[in-house]
Amino acid sequence: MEYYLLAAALMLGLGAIGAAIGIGILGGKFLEGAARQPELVPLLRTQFFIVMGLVDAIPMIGVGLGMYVLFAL
Amino acid sequence: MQTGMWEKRGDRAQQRYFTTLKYQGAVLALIALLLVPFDFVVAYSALLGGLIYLVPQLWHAWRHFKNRAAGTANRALAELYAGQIWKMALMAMLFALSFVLIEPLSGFSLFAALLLMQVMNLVMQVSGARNS
Repeated sequence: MEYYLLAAALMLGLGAIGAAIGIGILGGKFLEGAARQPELVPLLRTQFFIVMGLVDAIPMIGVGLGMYVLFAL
Repeated sequence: MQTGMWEKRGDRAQQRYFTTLKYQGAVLALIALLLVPFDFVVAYSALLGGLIYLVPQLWHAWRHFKNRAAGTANRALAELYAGQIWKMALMAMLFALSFVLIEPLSGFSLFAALLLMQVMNLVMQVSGARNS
């Protein structure tokens, strides 16, 4: 049985779940902050953008490893 | 007046972000150049790993900061999510293309350069936010 396909699927799938939860919470907090203080939207938007880049770091490494397992091994 | 103050803080964060990207590019080029005399495959694999990280980041940043002033919070959020989805798709495509088209490739140096870029981004953003 080809377990490497399962390994790649787990890496990609679990990474996607992690990123989705993290970015979803972040988006909810962004909307809360914007509703409380609408004048902060330009700042919150930039902060959201920067933190989103940090949240997706580990899932993207998982995606890279998954692609490596699928295509290079 | 207060909105202007927050916009200035947003501008500073934007400057910090682009400075981080410049430093990352410089460090990546330096590492690749230093590795060339030892092993050419390792050198270009490291360069490739760094570029896989930097190109989607640059594209996403350009897209985000180009129309930063426009719209409500809901629209801003929708745009950020769309940009993030395209960034992830671009990154996954670059990974797949590198692994399929480029041979030989050193996986270790590719992922080491990618990790270095991620850690640099984390450290510079966090330390910059503390100092501002």
